Amino acid sequence: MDVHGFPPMQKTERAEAWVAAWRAVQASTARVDRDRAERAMVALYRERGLETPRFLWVSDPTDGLMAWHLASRGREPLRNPYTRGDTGTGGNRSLYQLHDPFGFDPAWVYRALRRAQELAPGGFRFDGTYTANGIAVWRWLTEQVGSNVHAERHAAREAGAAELERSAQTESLARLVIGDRWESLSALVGKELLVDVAVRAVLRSTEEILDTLGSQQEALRALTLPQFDQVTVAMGALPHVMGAALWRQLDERAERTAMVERRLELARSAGGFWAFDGLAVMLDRPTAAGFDERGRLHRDDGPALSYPDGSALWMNHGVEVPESIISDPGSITVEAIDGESNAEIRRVMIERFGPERLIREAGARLLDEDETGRLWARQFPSSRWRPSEPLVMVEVQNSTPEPDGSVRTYFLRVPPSIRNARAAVAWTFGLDRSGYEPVVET
Amino acid sequence: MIQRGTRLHRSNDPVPPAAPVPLSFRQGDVLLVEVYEIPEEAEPEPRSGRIVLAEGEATGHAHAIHERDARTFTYEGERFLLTRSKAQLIHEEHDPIEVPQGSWRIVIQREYEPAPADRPQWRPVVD
Repeated sequence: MDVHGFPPMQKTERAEAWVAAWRAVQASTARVDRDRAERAMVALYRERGLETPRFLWVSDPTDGLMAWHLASRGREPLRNPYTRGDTGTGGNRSLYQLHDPFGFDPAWVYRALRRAQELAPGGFRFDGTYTANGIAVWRWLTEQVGSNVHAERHAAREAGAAELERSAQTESLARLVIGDRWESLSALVGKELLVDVAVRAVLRSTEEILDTLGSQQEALRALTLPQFDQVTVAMGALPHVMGAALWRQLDERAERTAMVERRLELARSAGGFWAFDGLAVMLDRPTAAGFDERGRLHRDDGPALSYPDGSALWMNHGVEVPESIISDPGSITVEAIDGESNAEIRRVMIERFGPERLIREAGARLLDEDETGRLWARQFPSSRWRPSEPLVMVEVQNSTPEPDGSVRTYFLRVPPSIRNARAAVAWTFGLDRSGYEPVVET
Repeated sequence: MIQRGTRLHRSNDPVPPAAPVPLSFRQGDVLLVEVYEIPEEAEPEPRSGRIVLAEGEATGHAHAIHERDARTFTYEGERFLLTRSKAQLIHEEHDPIEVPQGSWRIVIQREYEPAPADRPQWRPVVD
């Protein structure tokens, strides 16, 4: 192998080919080849010196949660051998695989990625979008899917309770729960009350086993989606793009290349997994996965990611948005835009609503315009209780354009006393008009 | 060369000349403003991995610095960054910025929010 890496031109081509191949892995909704995925998993267990696990396959996160709850009784989940304690929820968690039972040695990853950055062809970066996708999917799983499942299970339990009360077997179940004292107690308080008590007891224990929101989140946090793991893609890129010269210690080169290859194989073959000592719960691929030209999760007319249980992640060019913004853009109103506190989601709403239409329909007046942005004002009718305060917003644009040449435009609210665009932008950074003069802006 | 008519500052002038505008760099909703020094009482923040200056809620993107000799501090609710050598400020969707060696105040963009007089009339930009 060439010790100095490949010539630059070839490196760029290899990098592009690698990115394309990885995007295809992320976007795959093909039926999982379960034998292949199990072989990949067994190889990782062996690497950790563990016995071949039993396998349990599920098709969506809801079933996965159920399987996790049952599997975690009396079994230890595998943890990343390089981390201790709480791995947090921030971006660094994904960047360093803190949660991943088969994570690489972080010191090695850090060194390798730094070196890769130095050698990477101009402007090429391995992290970024991949990290962001991983974080978005993870947040969605832990925050949305968990609570959806909770609500669904709650509804199922209510239905179950009604069914149980009607069931002919209810009395025999109640006899079983109450045991020897059935006769004496039913003489004392009546059969109906005893059945009611028994049914409630059964439902309560079911709830304890399956239903606490906290453990749903714990379960979803333990889920790894290997195709969204950015460290794997970056580490895989090193030998594939840069040449194996990056593995500095010659004697470890073969073993480290094999470690990366094992992780890549799992990402290519499985949709997700929970790893326990002796048992692996494996998740099929999603039924839909959409990305934009930059590899960000995105779909214009449906969820960017979805599973057979209806769990769906709605994203617009990497921004997680409420479902209705994508599925029913006609429902976006000026009031809804005004009420959205997240600047990124508000931007997507305005894009879909139409910035010109917003200015027209909201009756905005241009107060000032300069190289920093445009300042708009809207007057609301005064209410009986207080004089109305005009809504003054500064329209600003990202300095770095999108890949298609378009520029993201944001509207930020500023104090109504401001009359000048530069002063408005300066105010958003806590500065006065003359203090705001960044030498570089991206 | 001083043009005719330019007003020169003299020590007995009632109005001192305007302070020079501090050096600043902006990446999206993060502004780094150069400060003369970081207050001595500032509390160093523990560091593990890269330094995250700001993180997007809806996107998972982050404005971050990887250089090992960079440190952050907090003082009276403000964050400061110390770069002991050149550092790259990177973000997934913005071009990287090369931050020179120095001391910086980290400013996160804010938005106006009407509120009762006893509460702040603004909130940080959330994205």
